[in-house]
Amino acid sequence: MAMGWAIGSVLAVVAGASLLAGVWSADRSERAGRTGRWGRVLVLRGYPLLIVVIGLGVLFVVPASVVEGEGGWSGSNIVSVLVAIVVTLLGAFALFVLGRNLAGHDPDAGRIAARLSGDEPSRLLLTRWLQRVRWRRWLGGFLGVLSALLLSVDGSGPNIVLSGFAGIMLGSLSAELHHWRRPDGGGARAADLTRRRLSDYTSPGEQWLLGAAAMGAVILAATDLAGTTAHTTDRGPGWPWAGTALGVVAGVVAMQWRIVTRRRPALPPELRRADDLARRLAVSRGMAQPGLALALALLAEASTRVGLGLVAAVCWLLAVGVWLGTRRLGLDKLLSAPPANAAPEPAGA
Amino acid sequence: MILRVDPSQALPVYEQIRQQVTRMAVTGTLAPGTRLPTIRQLAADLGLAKGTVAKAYELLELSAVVESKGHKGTFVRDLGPAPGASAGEVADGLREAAEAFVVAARQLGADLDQTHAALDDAWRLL
Repeated sequence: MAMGWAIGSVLAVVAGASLLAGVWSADRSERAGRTGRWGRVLVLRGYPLLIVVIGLGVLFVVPASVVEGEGGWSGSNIVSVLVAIVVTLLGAFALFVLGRNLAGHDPDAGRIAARLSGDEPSRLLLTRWLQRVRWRRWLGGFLGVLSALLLSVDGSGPNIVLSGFAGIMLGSLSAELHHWRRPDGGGARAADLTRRRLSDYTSPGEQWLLGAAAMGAVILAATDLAGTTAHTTDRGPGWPWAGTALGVVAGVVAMQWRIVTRRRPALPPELRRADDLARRLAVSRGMAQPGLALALALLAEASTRVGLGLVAAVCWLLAVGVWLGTRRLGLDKLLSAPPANAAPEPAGA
Repeated sequence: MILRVDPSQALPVYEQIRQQVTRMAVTGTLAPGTRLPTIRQLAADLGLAKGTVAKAYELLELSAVVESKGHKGTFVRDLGPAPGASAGEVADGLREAAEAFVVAARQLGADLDQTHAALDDAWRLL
């Protein structure tokens, strides 16, 4: 038992130190304006690494519990000690990655922006947007999952996936809210008279899916309120979940319009194209896709509560599918795409 | 098409908008049928209150330069054959603007190269 406490203490110290090191490292890289190979490896390999850590942790816990069951820690179980060391090192490595992410460090942002835009000011604009959005989404998702885990201690907490989607959506939302600040007063200002429309920045398919999700929410809420479906469990009615899904879709569309019409002074053509691209990404991958994933997950929850198991399963599958497509804003694949001038032109440009 | 307003000028901002849009519509720079940005968009882009832009649009509609088609938006009316600005008018307008620009540049102590560079930058930006 004492050995268990010792290992726990060492793990806690290593975890704390790794987190601090990660934050410090990310901050240093940002200040230096460079991202090394290790930085990229650390973040890109972070999630698979966590799975490895969890797997090894299971391997470690099982034999350890067997040993404890047979009379406690003997200290002579070399395999367990070795596994503990490996797990500690890998855990520290994973937490180091976590620390870098918590610091908002996105080593891919520069490379992705370089492939999306030609000149330096445009790259800077896109890099800033990518770093801001991606780390807030990550943090939102992380906090969502963590909240669900903490609330689930007694086994009655919220759905972890749903909570994670909600966190991602809130993260995306918070990344766009700073534009609501009023511009500095005074002085001459210029603007382009070209009208910007939502259809310039989003695809009809995405908007159609959002509409379909809203329609599904209305139908589910109506049928539940009309009492035409059988409540399978005592988990409560489904209509509040369907209503929330409808609210999410409405909020997403309102925010999309906000992004399209938010302030844009007169800009040189290159910067205007980069701004169009950032808006297009924000409207589509920042708002529509995470909003759709969340709305579908809410509809799945509502369907479960009104006893439509098949509909719930389909909604869950669709929600996870949409989330997979937008997991890292869906931009990682662009790392292997032709650079800069081959980037698609936004329709509104 | 660029619109520029300066709230520090004596002329109200909505009047500045009205004059510039009218000028562009009359000279044909804004073609008939061109859809103007929404009030919300133009107000956000220029950092103005929506009411200011709404008043400018209202005046433009009253003077029959634009017409509002409800949810479809605000469109530039067909004002007949666009005369365009004559060469003389363009030259006069440019001379007047250049004089004001040169006076400001000299008051700031800028030399000719700096003044040219500033003009090039503004041309690229706007």
